[in-house]
Amino acid sequence: MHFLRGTQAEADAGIVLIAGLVLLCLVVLVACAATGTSLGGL
Amino acid sequence: MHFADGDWTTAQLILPVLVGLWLAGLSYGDLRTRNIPAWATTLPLALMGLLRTAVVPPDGAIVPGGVAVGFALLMILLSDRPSAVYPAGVAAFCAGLSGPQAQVLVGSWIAALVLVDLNIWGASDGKVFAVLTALYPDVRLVVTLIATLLIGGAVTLLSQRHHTGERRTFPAIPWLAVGTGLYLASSCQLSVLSFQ
Repeated sequence: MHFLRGTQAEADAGIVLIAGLVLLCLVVLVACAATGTSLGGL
Repeated sequence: MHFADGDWTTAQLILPVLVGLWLAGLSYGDLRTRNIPAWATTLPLALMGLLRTAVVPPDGAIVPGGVAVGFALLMILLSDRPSAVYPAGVAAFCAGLSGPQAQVLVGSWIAALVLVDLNIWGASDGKVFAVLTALYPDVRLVVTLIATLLIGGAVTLLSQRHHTGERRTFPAIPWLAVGTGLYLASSCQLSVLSFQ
């Protein structure tokens, strides 16, 4: 219930940069795989 | 509930206004205190989870789209226990059988939960992210939100570069609000273009 009861609303700037880049790459890769598009074709 | 395809109705115009007011209120609280009352994020998340499970399932079908969201809700309810991985796995499997909306929704809920558990962002940030992706299960929204959070992190690091040895944090909800605004504006633009 930590997730549902949690009230904190701040993010760690340094780790968000790293995690955000990793997530962004993952999302783009999965989206390209789902649509059958090559990364170079974007 | 998905606005990128045109066909605007009154409800589709009112919903972004309500979302904007909700995000504005949360952003104000986040900027002031870095804390948001739990009910202000948990109730919308529960409401959207139930709606997406039984009333407006992703990809238009309760089986498997709504079932995927139902198991994602169960994952959140069990999130303090290791057994949460089982409903997470079933949710991901059902989302894989469903379609892109369920995949975006379930994937972003799992990511939000993991980021909270790793203390990368706060529980309120994770719940707001989950509500937004439940409202608009579109990969373009996810990319826009991540991009605005990256900008927020970079701005914080650059503006506090002289501070050393302390954890540098920033309020994430205003950046999520900016990302949502950009997404809705671009969706509206795409919708207008599609009529030409």
